[in-house]
Amino acid sequence: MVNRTSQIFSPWVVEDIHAKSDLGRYRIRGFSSFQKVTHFDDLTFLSTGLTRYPLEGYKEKCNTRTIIGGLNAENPLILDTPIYITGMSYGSLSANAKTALGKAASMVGTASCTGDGGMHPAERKASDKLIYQVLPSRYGFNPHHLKQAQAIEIVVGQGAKPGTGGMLMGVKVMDHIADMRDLPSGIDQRSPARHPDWLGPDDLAMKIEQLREATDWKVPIHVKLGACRVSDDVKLAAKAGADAIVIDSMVAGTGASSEILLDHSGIPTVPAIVLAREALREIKLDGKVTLIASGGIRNGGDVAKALALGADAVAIGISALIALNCNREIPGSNFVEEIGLPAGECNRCHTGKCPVGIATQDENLTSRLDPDEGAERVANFINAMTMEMALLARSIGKSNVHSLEPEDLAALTIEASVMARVPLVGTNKVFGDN
Amino acid sequence: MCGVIGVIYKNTEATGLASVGSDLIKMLESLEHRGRDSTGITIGGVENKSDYIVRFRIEGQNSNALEMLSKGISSIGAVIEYSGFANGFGKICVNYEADVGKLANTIADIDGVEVDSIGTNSEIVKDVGDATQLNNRHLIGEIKGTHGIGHVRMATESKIDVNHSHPFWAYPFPDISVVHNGQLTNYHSLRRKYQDMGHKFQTGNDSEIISVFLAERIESGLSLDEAIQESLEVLDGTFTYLVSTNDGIGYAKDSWSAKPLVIMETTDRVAVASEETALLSVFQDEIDRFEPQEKECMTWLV
Amino acid sequence: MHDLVSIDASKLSTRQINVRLTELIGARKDIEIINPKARHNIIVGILDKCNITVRGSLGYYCASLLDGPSIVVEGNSGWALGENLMSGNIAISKDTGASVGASMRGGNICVGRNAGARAGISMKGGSLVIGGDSGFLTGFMMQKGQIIVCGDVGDAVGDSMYEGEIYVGGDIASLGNDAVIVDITKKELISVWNKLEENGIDKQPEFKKIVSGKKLYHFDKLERLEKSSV
Repeated sequence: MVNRTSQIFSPWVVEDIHAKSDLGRYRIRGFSSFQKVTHFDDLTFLSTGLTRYPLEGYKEKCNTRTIIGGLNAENPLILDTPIYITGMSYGSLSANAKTALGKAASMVGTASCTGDGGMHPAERKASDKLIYQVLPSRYGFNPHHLKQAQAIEIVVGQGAKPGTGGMLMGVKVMDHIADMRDLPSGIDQRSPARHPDWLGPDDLAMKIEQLREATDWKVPIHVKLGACRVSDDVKLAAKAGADAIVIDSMVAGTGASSEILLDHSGIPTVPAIVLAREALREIKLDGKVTLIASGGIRNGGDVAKALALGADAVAIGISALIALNCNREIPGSNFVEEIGLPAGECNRCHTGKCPVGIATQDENLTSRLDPDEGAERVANFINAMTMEMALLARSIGKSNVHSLEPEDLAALTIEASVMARVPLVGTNKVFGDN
Repeated sequence: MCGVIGVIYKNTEATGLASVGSDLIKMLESLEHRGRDSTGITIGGVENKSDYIVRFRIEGQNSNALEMLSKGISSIGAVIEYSGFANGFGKICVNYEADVGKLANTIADIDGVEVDSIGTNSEIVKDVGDATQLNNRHLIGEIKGTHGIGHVRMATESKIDVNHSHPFWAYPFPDISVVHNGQLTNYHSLRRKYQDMGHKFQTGNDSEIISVFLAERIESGLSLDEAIQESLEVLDGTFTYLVSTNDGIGYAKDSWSAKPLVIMETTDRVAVASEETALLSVFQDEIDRFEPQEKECMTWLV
Repeated sequence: MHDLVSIDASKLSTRQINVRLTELIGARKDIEIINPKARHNIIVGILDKCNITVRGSLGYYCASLLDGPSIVVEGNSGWALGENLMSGNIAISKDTGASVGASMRGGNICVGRNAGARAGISMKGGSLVIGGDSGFLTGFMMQKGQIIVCGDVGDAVGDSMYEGEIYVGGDIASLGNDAVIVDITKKELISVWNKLEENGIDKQPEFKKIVSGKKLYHFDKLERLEKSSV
């Protein structure tokens, strides 16, 4: 017997309404959006045939060296790969996880980034190139740490929950976390949505100058935006003086967010990159201000496509955690028993019961994550992605991944053609009125 | 986003017209870091022997625009007492006794002509670039009057060109213009409402709606002060704005005090600006400054 | 006492002023800055003890990101004076703009006259003393520390505060979300007066004490999967 269900009042919508009728407020979860949106899978590369010269996969070089924030800083970030690890808070993640991520970044010659909770000393020690975030909450913010960082990132918003601040449920606000954040232990922490000392792009310009003065103009100042009104925001961030702009899409991850924001705000990665690149071009800062894309980067193909569309670098979050063991049944774990969902389907980061010791502060769980082993897994994954990206680039005849351009792509769907501004496969036509 | 400034002299009846233009340029130069996309000023209380001063620009390909302007003005029975035009920017002084709306439409309807202001004793000059460039091109420093407002722009949601620069004149109400720092969040629906009422908008910019709103309220009988008070309830979003009329200036701040404003006052004048550094360019250090709080507004009349 | 060296801000760019400050502090000089003319972003990121006097007004984000210095300002300031102060003292004679002491974590700031909106926003420690009035959203999202306002305070004081205390000597326009007035003991009152005296303020108002009502600490219901395992 086959049962049809409504697409609008689907089984999960029914469950959602039941839950809210008990709860009386919005629901919260971690991970990523459940929305089905156009993404890199809807784009494909046009590799060489007779018109171009392919490069040998194993022998010939493909340069992956990436420079971030060279516009004003004396010491821009120089990475061996265009992939770095994004900011995720110590508090949302365990110290072992932050240490592993920092070490992995050092192992592959790239950077990692702090998060909404401050700089953890183990992370500073493990990561050679550490980007220090300046968030609305300023939890744990310390001018000494500011001066130890290789780059500074002002967080205006993140793709998973643009227009709002961070969130950490009480179960994870244990004493050591509360202490670092100057909060009472156990509260359900909700960070502010606005910065305390600047409220608009005119003040942001002066704030950026302040951070430059405090770091003697040595390091790049980045601005991270949740991808919403991308054109306007990117132009303003660039005019305010950002050396690099991170555009974080609606499918980017989070440790905890209200579900309604996760699924119903922000725009996908493909149009976000295209709009950002066009905005920089319009104000003649294309190629001067570094453009970094994040949200839903899962393999070397995604990285290559992001670069082709106009990004100079990408940041990974969820995929780094998955490499670290997220959603993997490991010795000692039992996903169904511990978290109520099978391994591979878990999105319960906000509960603090992460069976693999990543998104938790519980010592019984964090002990399941060995930072050195974890670092090796993440480093392997980044190497794998870098190799995939280079392989693709060489098959298209590029000796440098930064030579990838939109004309190397074709779209597999009409939506992708419109959003990416590339022709639909089988046609010469770029759909949409651009 | 932006920076705003304003100045009003108190005793010009006794002392004669003041160097308002020079004050405005000095203050704008010290606020350049708040926006370099464009700069503009309104000077009020200028000497004017005719009925109206019209400031306009000619853009685009219509090479007959000036001629058509001349013809258009004569055709409605208006007489040009003075005219000057250079590098796309023009000023005419016109005698005209009928409805000023007709004068405005006659000029604005000509292809390629953009009207920046029509006033009985005020004029708006605005251009892309910074205050120094504005002064070099348009000799603002030489213009005397009794009061004025000014603006430096960092564009947020609309285009960068002279049309979208502040101050915004409330078409077609003479002498009313506004400069704005902030971003209104209900401006699309407000603009549609006023368009349905028959008002004309020259741009898609949110700041223009403040100007039209105030002008409409004043025309319906409210004082400048009352109109500004009402705007506090109607406008949603962040703002510090300054308005200039034929005989004074006023300001309003939003309910979150999100955008700054500081004021200094001496025996001869009052100056307001987004930052103290602007006021210090025309005053000495020893004067006290006053900072209005959220949802506050005030007006000064000549 | 160290030698006093004067920096004339009118002749220098912001960068030059800050570089000169670093040099002089390294050489253990006391410093005076003349003609500041409400400049932005000077006296930032200084992590050593030193004495700096500013003879005039400062602009935005000045005397910020400090750990140790003692700063005296004879004038007004723009936004966020003393932002993220870790330790040290800042005394300003006249008015401050919005967000004085934003996210400060230690040390002491004394505003001689009035503070603008959001004074002590997101404060995480230390003390903020205001001789005159303070504006809208004073102590907004305050986490720890002490704010003392001798005069009146604007709307929504202490909105969403976690911990910490706000003492108000004059009128309270309105309390913020989850901010409550509680009793103040004589001992506490005297301790606050002593703090004023330490800051050279000769007043002894009958302070009201405002703290968090602690009702916003938790979501009142949790889903099954959100509840603690403990």
